[in-house]
Amino acid sequence: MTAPRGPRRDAQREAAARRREAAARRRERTLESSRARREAGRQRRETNRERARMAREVSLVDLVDRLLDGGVVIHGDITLAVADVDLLYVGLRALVASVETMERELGVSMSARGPALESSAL
Amino acid sequence: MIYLYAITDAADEPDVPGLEGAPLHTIRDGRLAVVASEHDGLRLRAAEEELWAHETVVEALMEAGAVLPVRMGSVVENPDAVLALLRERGRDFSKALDEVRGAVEIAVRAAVDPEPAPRATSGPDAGPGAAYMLDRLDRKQRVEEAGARIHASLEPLARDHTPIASSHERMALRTAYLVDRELVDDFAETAERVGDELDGVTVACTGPWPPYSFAAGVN
Repeated sequence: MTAPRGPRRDAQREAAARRREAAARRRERTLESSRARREAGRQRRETNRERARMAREVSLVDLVDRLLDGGVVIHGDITLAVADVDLLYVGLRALVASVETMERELGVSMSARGPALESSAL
Repeated sequence: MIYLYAITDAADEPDVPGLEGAPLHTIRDGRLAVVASEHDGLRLRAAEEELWAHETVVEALMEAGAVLPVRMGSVVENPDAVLALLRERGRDFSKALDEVRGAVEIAVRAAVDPEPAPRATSGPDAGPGAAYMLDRLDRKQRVEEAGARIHASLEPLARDHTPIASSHERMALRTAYLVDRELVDDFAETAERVGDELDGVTVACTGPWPPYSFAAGVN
């Protein structure tokens, strides 16, 4: 038994878990009505964790869509043609490819979460 | 180089950091302002952190007033180029800001569940090829009907809407809606209700986003 155990280690672990959860919440943009949010609060913790993961993934898909294809396009000779911008787009295309894969599975995953949604929406 | 985040006519100075923690600058021409950060050789990475860092700036601006997000990765050479941009396209920016003022973007997607519905109407005479085509037609119709019904429920609550491209065959609806802030909760509740009413269809909303999809056409 070399690993330190006890209240201090538990507290550290809990603090780290809280930080991770807070960071994940900042990246959630799934929109629910206030009534649905109240109901979701009563769901079991496990269900909430699964919902949070989906919420983050769906939010990321929508974020990439918007940042890549939305927004005012600044064009013409005032836009600097730097290599970094090209690299950004190459890299983002790779990210979008993984996002597309995720989305192909999204229908299945979202349906799998159906019972939780039904009870939360009453 | 000057990295651009958004165009706004809000008077407030944003107090969040830009990419790589760089301070934000507001470059003004009259009432219009471009929010930007200055970098000496910025190297953008296509990482989740980077995307959210950009997004955090635009969302902070959205809290302060009307905002037109600029497409991610837009850079200009110097502050003069920003001023030139505002002078050249300022009238269009002002008009577009008025169109999104007080509203946010909500992304809606609706997916039809994957299991193929057995066709009650396909008779015993239909060959396997015909049955396959009928199944495909049937599903396509189911997807289209679901999308139309969801849109019909949501459209009255939105100021504007624009479809988002999707090649996913089970995707019944993928649309961005521009929704008045005070109607966002009604909108979300309506989306939940119509999703519950439709068998085998899942409706999901994300937002509120800055009006990216309604700024893309501003020339």
